[in-house]
Amino acid sequence: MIRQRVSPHATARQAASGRPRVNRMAPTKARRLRIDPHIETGQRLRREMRDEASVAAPSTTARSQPSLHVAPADAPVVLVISGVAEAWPGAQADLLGTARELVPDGAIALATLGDVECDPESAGADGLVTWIGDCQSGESRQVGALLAAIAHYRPAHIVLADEAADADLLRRLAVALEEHPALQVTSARGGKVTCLVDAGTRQFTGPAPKLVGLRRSACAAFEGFLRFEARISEIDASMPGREPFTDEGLLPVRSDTLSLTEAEMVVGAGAGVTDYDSLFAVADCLSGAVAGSRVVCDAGSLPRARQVGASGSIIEARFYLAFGISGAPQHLQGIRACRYVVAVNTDPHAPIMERADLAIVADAQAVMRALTERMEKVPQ
Amino acid sequence: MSDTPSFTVAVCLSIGRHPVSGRPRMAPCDRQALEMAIASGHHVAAFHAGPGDEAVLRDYLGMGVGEISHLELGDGADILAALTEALAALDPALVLFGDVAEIGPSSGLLPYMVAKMLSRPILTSVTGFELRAGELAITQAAAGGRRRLRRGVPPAVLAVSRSAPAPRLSAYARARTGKIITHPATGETPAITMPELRPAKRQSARLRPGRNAEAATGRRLVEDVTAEDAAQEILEFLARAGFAKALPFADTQRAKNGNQNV
Repeated sequence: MIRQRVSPHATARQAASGRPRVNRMAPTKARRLRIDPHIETGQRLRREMRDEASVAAPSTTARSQPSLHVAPADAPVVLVISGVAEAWPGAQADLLGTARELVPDGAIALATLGDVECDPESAGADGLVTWIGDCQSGESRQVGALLAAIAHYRPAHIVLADEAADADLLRRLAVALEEHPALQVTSARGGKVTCLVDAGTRQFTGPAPKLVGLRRSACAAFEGFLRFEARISEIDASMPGREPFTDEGLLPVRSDTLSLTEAEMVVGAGAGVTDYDSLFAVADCLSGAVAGSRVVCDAGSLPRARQVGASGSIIEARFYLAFGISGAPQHLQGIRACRYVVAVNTDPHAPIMERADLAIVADAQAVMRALTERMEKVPQ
Repeated sequence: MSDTPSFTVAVCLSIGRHPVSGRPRMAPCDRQALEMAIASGHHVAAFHAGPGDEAVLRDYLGMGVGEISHLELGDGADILAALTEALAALDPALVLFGDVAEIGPSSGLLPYMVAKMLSRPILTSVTGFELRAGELAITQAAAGGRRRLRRGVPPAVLAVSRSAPAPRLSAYARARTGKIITHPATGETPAITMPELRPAKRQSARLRPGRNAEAATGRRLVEDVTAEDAAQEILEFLARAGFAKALPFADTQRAKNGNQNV
């Protein structure tokens, strides 16, 4: 088939497939049809996504108040449960949105043992639990409080995240309710769920059981322009009885033993670092783990287990501070999943400076010492 | 650690499957549980329930446990009843599990169900324990590689985290000399019915338009600054990116007016 290219300068036009497309970049309504996507390239698509974003987040001046959505009294209830901490940032809003996709005509209630981290009225909560008494300290108290909420709402489905600490809560609830849950759910919509089994290698799809444990990839927040009631139900969470395990708090962090693959903050040293006392002092101040490039570990300055890169650990820390690291491709592979990278290096042309979100051209030793000094004289 | 082992620690071992080759292997987390039990110095009783695989069970023996009780069940049979019965008869101070199995439903529910049937408390994400004179101290994995200390009393059921210490290697001589004691199934065991399975699809995170608050920090190159200013720059960047420890040091006014020489 010969594809006809259409000039991008015509006013109303059709793409090569023949399907008219909307051109959101067009300034007036008259030119709303999109130009040939094969002529316009990548940048174009990204701009369109930003446009979608601005549509999804309505400005208060341009649009009227969202209309109030009231769930009918006989609607099936879906209870969304979140633990003391959100399973991931924005998990509560994501779970509420996915619960609505699972049961589109349902009444969604949110019961969270910690703080409410989303705006329940816009995220899609028809009901909201507030607790009377302590619902947080200890697993059996948490489960007891949630069972009280379940008894109150009599939900058709209970939706939790099957990640982080919520996975534990989910399984405790499943055993307490004697329900077989759908776990590792990768898709939940229209009353059906797809679950992973065999350590994530195989899957099956079936009707949603009472308990649904969602993976993060299954979830998306509600994006519609509606306001929900978020009607508050007070639930008594004061439980008699004793916790089998007492909580003695978090143990102090040691920068040389903190696991590289689990740490939130990793402080990395390269050949540009000579003052290792300062390096450990910085890592201790930031409660981070100390890591090294291959050069440093080869030289024996840090143990082999602390090496980051293709032949060491692949880390997923949210923050990575690279001191005196040039950023060989093998090292950059190891920090690919790091969200924020700060690099301090004397060479502004080092590859790590390109990768870094904040690149500082300076001597690592002086900056490490200044950083420790700055953090030791705490304002508070 | 006492010199004479006074407690019994039971470890439930499963047959894993290598994610790439698909060959049977020791389940990594069960190895960590066995390592934890052996390192504790208490008497270790190892169990395996299911069809079994002699080579894999011998690998477990090679880690230093003298014998493994193999509760022989058919392929796909529900092991819960047989395992609980054997554990109840032994009455160990602790029962250790790995986190999830590598074959079957891989739900991670078994420790919870066993704990319920034995009427014992359960703790998961365990990275270490110390058991002495009726006191149980447990470290539990928390977010960001932190460890939480929990205290309780035996008996208890523990599910080991993947963040637990790495297991020891399997020694060939011990694998040869260790004993596998097979207990044939008694009575009927119900099978777990699994629906029709298909290969899993690769999952990518769903696109979330309109939520790019994370990208607010921007990319910057900072040159010709003193070490003190560089340190302040780093702390302010970390504070903007949401690193809690840096927040007290950030001067938000200065962060806004910072030189944007990208």
